[in-house]
Amino acid sequence: MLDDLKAAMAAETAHLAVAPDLAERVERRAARKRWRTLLASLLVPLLAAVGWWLVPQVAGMSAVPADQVIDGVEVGYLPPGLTRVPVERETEDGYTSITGLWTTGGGKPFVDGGDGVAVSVYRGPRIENTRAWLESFGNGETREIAGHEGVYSTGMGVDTFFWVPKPGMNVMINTVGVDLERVVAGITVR
Amino acid sequence: MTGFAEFVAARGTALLRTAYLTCGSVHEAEDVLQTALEKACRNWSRIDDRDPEPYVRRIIVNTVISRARRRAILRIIPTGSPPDRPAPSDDPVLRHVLMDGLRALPPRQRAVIVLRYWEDLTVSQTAEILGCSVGTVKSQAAKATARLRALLAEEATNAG
Repeated sequence: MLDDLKAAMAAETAHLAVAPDLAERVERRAARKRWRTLLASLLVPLLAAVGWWLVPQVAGMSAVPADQVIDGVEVGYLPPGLTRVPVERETEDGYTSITGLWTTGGGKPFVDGGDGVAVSVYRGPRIENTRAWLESFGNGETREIAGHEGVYSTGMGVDTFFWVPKPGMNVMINTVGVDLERVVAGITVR
Repeated sequence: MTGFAEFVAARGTALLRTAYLTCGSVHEAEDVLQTALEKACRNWSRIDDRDPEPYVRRIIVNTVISRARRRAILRIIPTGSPPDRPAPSDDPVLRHVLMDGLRALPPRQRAVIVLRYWEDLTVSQTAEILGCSVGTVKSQAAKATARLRALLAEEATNAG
């Protein structure tokens, strides 16, 4: 069967080829990104300081509602108009994960054209705050957001950031149409 | 940039094929490949003294898996995404069954199959790329091949 599978994969991909100017386009985009990264590295400490000061003022110092606590992680900031979707627990390759999902009207981001915030807490003995583990979990740029050193990526309208607040625990935030940095700044790990 | 354009010219298409088999969509495969190459390009001075291909392949596979995870969380699109185009009608049934089966696998199992049986990587090389243990690669490969065999058996029964 494995020989058949390999033959099928070869036939399925035979028509694929990269564009002749791919390397040139990639080099141009990489050069632009270098400048953006440099600029961001200058602005991040300032924005983080403002965020740390601002979020407690806006969210208040009181405890968050019970439905804004995901497996020991408090979600201190959510924009108005989002509705909580029931929590699901899932297991993925040795991690236990639980996700809190808030969306416009309880609908599906993208499909309904609404906004959304997902806060996922992964637990597992292999999780550690090392570059190797972070890269194995997901790709993106190493970035500091609201004082957390983690991995940021964006695509298809979804902003993603994850970090390891302590060994054995990974927190991942996904936002659609919502300020990712404010959500991250509002996270407290109990 | 010394060597980058030559690397893309020499290995770009092979990497695009790996990306396509891992994610099941030509459009997404092109996007993932571009993302991976951009990252490699920014770090080229650090990696061009050794073979950059494993580094780029690792980014491709992990990008596909993390995007699938993000979609699953936000419940936007099922992780077993349909093909971009219908396969030509003169293709053998076996190819359809196997490729449909491959697309229906969970993302990490699909990645294991592509790395092991398309890229011909060893179990330990596959484990290194996916950031998991050798045992996990073996168990994921066993589950995936069992599912593909079951699909083939089902197809044979239906055909008979």
